[in-house]
Amino acid sequence: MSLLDATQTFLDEARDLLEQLEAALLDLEARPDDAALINTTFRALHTLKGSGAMFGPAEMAAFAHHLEDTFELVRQGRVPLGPRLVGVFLRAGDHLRRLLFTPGVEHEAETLHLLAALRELTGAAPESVPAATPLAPEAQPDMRQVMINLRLPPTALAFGTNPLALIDELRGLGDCLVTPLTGAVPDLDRLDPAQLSMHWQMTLTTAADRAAIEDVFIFVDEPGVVSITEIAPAMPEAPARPRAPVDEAPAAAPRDAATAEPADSQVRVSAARLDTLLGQVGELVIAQARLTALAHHRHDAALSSIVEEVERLSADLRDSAMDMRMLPIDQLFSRYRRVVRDLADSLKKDIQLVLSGEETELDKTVLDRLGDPLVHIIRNAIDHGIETPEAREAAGKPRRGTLRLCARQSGGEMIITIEDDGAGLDRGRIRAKALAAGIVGPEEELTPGQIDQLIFHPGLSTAQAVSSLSGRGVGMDVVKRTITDLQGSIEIASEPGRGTRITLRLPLTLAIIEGLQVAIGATMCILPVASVEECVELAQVETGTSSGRNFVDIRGTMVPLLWTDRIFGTARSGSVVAVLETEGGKTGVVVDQVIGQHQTVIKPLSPLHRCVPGLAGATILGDGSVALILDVPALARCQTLPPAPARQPGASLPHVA
Amino acid sequence: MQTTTATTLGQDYLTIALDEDIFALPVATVREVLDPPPMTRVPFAPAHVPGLVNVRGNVMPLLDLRTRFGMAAAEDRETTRLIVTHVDRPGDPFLVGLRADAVYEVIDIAQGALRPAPPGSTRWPAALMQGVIQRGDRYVIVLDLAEIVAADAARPQ
Amino acid sequence: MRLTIKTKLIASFAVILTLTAGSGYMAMQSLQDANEDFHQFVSGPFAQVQTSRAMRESLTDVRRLVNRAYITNDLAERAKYVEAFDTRIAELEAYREQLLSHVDDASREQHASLTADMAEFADTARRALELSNAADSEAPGTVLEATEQVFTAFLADAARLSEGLRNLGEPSADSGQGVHSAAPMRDLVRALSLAETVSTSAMTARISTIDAAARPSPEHTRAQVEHAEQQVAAVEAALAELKAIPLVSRNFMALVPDLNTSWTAALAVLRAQLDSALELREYAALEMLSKGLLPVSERLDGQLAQISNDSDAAAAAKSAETEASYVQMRNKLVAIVLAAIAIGAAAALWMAISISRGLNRSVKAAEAIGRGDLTTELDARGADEIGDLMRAMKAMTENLRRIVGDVISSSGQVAAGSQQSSATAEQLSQGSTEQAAATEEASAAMEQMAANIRQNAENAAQTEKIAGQASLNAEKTGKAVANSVDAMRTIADKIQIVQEIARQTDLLALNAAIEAARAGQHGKGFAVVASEVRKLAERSQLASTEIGELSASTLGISEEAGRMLQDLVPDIQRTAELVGEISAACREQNAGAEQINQAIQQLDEVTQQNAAAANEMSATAEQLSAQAAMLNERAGFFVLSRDAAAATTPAAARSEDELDRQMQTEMAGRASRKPAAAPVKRAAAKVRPAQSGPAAEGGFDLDLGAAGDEGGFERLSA
Repeated sequence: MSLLDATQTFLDEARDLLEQLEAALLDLEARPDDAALINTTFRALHTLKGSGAMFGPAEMAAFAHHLEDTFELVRQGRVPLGPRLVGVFLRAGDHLRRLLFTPGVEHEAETLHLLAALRELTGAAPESVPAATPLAPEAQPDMRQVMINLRLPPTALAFGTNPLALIDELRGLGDCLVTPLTGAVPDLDRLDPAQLSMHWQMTLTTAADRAAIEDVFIFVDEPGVVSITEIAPAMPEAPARPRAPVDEAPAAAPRDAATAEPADSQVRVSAARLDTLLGQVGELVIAQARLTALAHHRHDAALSSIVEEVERLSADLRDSAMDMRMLPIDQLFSRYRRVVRDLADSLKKDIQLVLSGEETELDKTVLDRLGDPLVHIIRNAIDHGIETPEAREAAGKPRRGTLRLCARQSGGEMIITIEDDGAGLDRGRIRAKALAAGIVGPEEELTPGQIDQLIFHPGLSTAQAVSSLSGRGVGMDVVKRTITDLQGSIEIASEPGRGTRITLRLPLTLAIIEGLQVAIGATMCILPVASVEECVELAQVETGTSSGRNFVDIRGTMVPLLWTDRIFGTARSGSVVAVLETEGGKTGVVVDQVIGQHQTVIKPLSPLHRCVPGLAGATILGDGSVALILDVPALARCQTLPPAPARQPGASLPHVA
Repeated sequence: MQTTTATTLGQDYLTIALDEDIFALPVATVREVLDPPPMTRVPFAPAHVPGLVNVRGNVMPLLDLRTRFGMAAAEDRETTRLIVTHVDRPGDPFLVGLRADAVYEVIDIAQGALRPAPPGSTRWPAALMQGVIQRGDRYVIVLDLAEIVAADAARPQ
Repeated sequence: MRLTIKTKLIASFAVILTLTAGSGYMAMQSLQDANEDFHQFVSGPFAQVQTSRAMRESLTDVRRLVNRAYITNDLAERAKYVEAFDTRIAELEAYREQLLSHVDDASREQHASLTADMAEFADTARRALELSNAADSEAPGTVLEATEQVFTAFLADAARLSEGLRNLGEPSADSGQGVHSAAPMRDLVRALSLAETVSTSAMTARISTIDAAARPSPEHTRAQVEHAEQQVAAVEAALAELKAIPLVSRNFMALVPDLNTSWTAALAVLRAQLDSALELREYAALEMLSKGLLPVSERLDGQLAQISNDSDAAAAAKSAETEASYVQMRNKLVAIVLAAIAIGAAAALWMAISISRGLNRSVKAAEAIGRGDLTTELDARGADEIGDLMRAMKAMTENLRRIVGDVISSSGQVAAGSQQSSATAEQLSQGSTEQAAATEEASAAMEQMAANIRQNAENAAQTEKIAGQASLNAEKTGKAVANSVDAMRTIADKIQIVQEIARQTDLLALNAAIEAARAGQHGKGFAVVASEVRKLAERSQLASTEIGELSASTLGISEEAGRMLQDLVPDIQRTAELVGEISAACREQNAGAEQINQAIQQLDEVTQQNAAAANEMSATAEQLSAQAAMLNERAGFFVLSRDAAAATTPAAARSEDELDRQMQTEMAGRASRKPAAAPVKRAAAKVRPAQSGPAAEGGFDLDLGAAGDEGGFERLSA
């Protein structure tokens, strides 16, 4: 593990810890007496301080140290944990994040400001609180003796591990007897100062649990480096040293031990590397498909069996890689707790956020792109939806408004609902706005549903004052576009005085769809299987022409035909009609041949082709060629337009395929 | 054959050919030079980006520089190459394969050697050029990649 | 006309058999007639008698049944009788049919009356039976039943009336119609008594009627009827009076007509019963029995008796007729049998005599021929088979005489011919020996020639092998050249790969240069390397292009060489083929010479065999000559004419001796001579040809002796 890697690991962990800290603080606001939460918070601060001292910026470590000390007071019950204190701690958390990721002198003032706030709230100067305050009761009933063997690898120094810092930290946990083992130290003339040749044996008398001890060695925890053996409970005559600052609630200990265990077996991987892996797996699947095709032509039984094996393995690999990208939506939801809290504070509203289905998993890409739209929606709900406590009381509702964020999986879709019990959409104002913006004519009669839909229209904001939160009128249309880009849909349902519910439907993943491969001339195209209803021979159905457009009679239903030859400029030879369910009913796509069904890895289109209508993306086929994923509704729309300009077949670039 | 000898401070460019003219691209944007792989045509696509190609598992648009510069389209030749270029459009970076008649070499252009093209000196649209440099007895036209791949450039001149 | 024995035998047997058959037929015919008569008798008069008797019994039965039916009172029993009666009548009918089926037309009339009578009888009996059925002692019960309803109704009406009257008479609280005054009271009393009278009289009339139906006697019945009539009258009077009483008519306006109506109904029934009682049917039945049935049955009985008698008479007549025909037939049969015996005896005697005489003559002639005497002249007479036999024997003798003569002359000729052929064989043998020598010479010469030809063939084969090798080598060379062309082509291909690799390397180096450039200052060193690599790649590209061109030109030259060689190869192959053909011709020639050689050797062998065969033939000819002589002698056995027989006897004896001697010589000659194998030159022995084996046996002498005993034979010299 190089120093760079270790720093990276630290940063990743620190980010987690900060999130953990924030979540715990938010929970503490609701349940200030939850010992487990307090311990979690404290441990997060402690670890931040500890590892920050080793790898992080000094200011950050120092600040974390102050925070830890202050929180120690809370932990000991000396200072009550009020909402204000929580607020300061939350801000302090944010400040820690800034210190960590954007180090610089410009944060000095904020540091001082926060420390002052803390001082004010706790009534104690953090400086005056020593790192180890003698505060523990006389005898800890569960003092134990633990034997620790520290046998760092010789290269440890080169990687930036400081054994002395570790031992110091261990001392912080309790009375520690350190015995250096110098047996492996070579003669002086052969001694390499960059190599570590000493080992240590320590006997620690502590009340801290095993996990706390292991935390000390978290950055050197390679197999065989540290061995921790519990010897016996401390001798009664050996009085506990009051230095031990840790006052673990006994109930919390096993829980932490349990959570510490799986954490050890996890590997932190950057999302980019995961994406790369998935890309490579996708390429592997494609290469494997080519291999399969080749083996099919060879008629070699042994080869075929191996190829089948490889096929299975690569499919498994792809599934595993896909699974890796799946993340619990909690990552997203937990962010909103802070958003809701801050917003409610600034708007002087009393709002309770109720989350459910946080464990539902969603593809990372979708998750990443979903964050901003959701924030928009939540902001809108708080800003426009939920009324002030006074208004709520006047309306006979509880003072505290409720915002429900719910996620659940249904088939291949993720359904997210954002529901508030506020005033609902003000349709009169939306209509007035729309009139003013010229979106609707003054004489147009609109149903409530249609009015609701207007909020997705660009350039419409109903907030009377443009606030910092919303009202710029670029919210909902952006939201809608993002969701649509994600192959999802958005619905809104509102009831005046009762609240608004926004439902998002999203695919679980964007990377892969089940596709029907068809041939149109020499071009291979993919139709989403989900929307294909059936395929019929063109010769077997009645076709008719009605006012320039072709129709096909499928069991009594007139289905408009989409002649792909016209679009692709090929000779009219279509023989099969794939009937697809589209927005306005059904559309029959005339193709030359239906090849089969494939799991299709979607490759997004570049900006150069994004303006091309009727194309949802591209994919790579087994033979390495590129196939187009068709967006049939869009194609159907553009067929009604005149043929694409300046795109006569043959006049442009010759076909190089 | 020319060789890369310049080591002076400045920027490296990749020289390419369209017909008899020599052009240059900032080498920092170039990822790779390849023989043109098979292309899949895209209906309704602009004429200068007629289709998609697969380069090592990446699907990218093929941009035909000839068409982009309003030259007549030509068949692939022995020397025809695809230059995989990274377009670092803010917030929307992507790869594009530029098709050129030939690719020559990486050259180093000293700072200040780049001059704006004298008006009317070339038959190429000035918007697509950053400038020209003189190299030996020939002018090398330095291309403005961002302009070339501009999404709204649906109509080549 | 020719009367053969066969004809005679057939004729006599035919006469006897015809007579026998005639008598048999007549006997059979008469037996059949008798049988028929018997049958007629049985089915005719006999059956009629039987049937009429049965009918008479049945008639009696019927009458008895009718009587019984009359007598009995029990209904079940009577039903049984009626049933039995029906059976009897059916029986009678059947008998009558039977009877009528046998009668002839003559007595048809008589039987017609019988039929009529039968019908009448059955009719009468049936009526009597019905009457007796009607004369039922249960009649009173019937009357009771019949009258029950009407009278009950009537009496009920009357009772209602009385009731009503009584009600009127009683004082009632709620009814204001009570009768309180004296006058109405009287009327009421009167009406009551009248109503009572009506009831009583009606009852009495009914009882009398029942009584009348019981009828122990006609007188009683009549008395009861009269009594009933009186009662009826009384009722009617009472009713009339009742109507007249105003009280009644007023109070029972509805009831009175009812009463009237029901009375009228009752009266109607009563009258009917009375009338029926008065009919007195049983007497009619009795009368019917005595006066109707009896006469008919007697008449029938008479008729049937008559039929029976007639049948008896017919039977007697038939019997007499049969007796007469029997006697006539017996006499005829006796006469025929006697005639047959007489004819048979005569024919047998005649035939025995004629056959015996002819056969004796034939035996004598055959014995003479057996002795060798062919001189006998046979006297052939008679027109029958014996005559034929004699004629045949005569022809045989003549033919034998002629054949023996021919044999003797032929054997002489054979002897001469065989001597001639012996000489010819000698000549042939000599010629063959000379031919054999010539053939051997030819064979030797041929052997020499064959050896030369073989040498030729071997040489040709050698040449062929060499030519084939040359052709093969040429072909291999062609292939080698083709291979080298292929290799050249492969080289050219590989050079293309090298070119491609060089090109790729060029591209790779270009990419490396790009990478290096992108790495900035750090990549400068690498950029130099990349450019060097690129240079190398370009040089190798150039070199490989040159190699490619070179290999292309080499390829052209090799291909030219290959093509030329390809042209040469067929010529060489052609030469080899021609040499091969020559060689094959030589081989064939060699084989031909061998064959000729072999043929000559075979010819030699055949020639020598021919010589041996010629010798053999000469010997055989001599033997043939001896055999001919022997045959001549044997033919001498037969005496062909009487005068020649005595003269030839001594010559025969001498020739016998000579024969023996010759045999001895022959045997010796055979022993000294080797059979065939090599051509042996020997002088034709001037010996008499030897005879064949079996002829030399001694048994022949005995025959001769026997022949001599018989009277000698003649020998004709050849």
